Amino acid sequence: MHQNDDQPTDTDRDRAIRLSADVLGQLDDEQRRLLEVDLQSNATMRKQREDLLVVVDALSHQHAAESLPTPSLELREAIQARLEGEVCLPDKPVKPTSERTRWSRRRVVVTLAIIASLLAILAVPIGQAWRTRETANEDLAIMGGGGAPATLGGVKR
Amino acid sequence: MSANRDGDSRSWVLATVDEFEGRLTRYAIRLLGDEHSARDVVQHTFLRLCDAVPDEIQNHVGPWLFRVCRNRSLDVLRKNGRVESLGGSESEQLPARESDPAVIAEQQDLGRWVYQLLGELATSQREVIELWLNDFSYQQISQITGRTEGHVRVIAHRGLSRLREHPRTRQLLDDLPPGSTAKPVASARRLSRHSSMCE
Repeated sequence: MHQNDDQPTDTDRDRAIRLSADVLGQLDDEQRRLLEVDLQSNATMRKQREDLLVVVDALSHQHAAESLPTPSLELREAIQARLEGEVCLPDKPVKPTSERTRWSRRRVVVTLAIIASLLAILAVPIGQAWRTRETANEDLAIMGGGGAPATLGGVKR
Repeated sequence: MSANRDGDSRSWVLATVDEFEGRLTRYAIRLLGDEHSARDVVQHTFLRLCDAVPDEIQNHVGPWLFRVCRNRSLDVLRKNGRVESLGGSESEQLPARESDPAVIAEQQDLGRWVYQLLGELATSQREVIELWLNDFSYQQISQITGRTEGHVRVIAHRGLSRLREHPRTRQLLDDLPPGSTAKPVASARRLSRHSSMCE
């Protein structure tokens, strides 16, 4: 397939990216050496680099010359207050109270439910035993003619 | 002992505020477009610094501050429904402002012109170049923005190309006297940055 000469190839693009990185001082020694080799044989790249250097220098000068925003007294007061522990931490993630309350409520309900279940389980045999004992006492009372003390197990002395 | 450490930590925070407040505020203004919100974001950033453990961030406090500031700015933009402006397409066309002769007269100076043009780049390009202007390397910019270093390289290249290729910039470059390439001060800055990066 014929490639259009006007379209930059990947290599051209990579070189151009390296060129920008070089102008911004972001190439290591080896990368710079390779770029210098490319530059020696490519006048267009040399011109691009020259232009980029001028643009970047102009930008740097303008940036350095621009006055910075004035220091904020309010900021310093807020920081002093924070450092002295006068301010709670509004930016720290704190669990919402309602969520915490909901959890503790759930815990109480679950505990109560378990206790109720245990009581129900224990109540059945206790109730049965109590009823059996009552019945046995009544039987003994009937057999002994009433009024006579009965012993457990129905043995009369 | 503990009081001593608290005192050190306090001095460190205050010194960091002195060192970074101006640059951080300028960066936030550029991101948010208004000073009031920018100051709020910067205050949030430094209050986070008060809670940080100095030993953990002392070696990269600059990138740390800018990253916190950036993330907070994004939150503010999201809240205001303006987040698309930060993710802006990199193929945005720059406006050609050459019709007004008064504007042209004011923009004779290349520095002023490209600096103004910088504000009109796609946000990602503008941001990367501004972070570079704040003395951050590609690696640090990558840490601040959460992009890969390779992506930062590409974005910086696109931004610089747009600045250079704008018709007005071309005209100003052509008008420069021959041989007026990089000025010594900026070149020295570039080289010192390069050498410090290689350390």
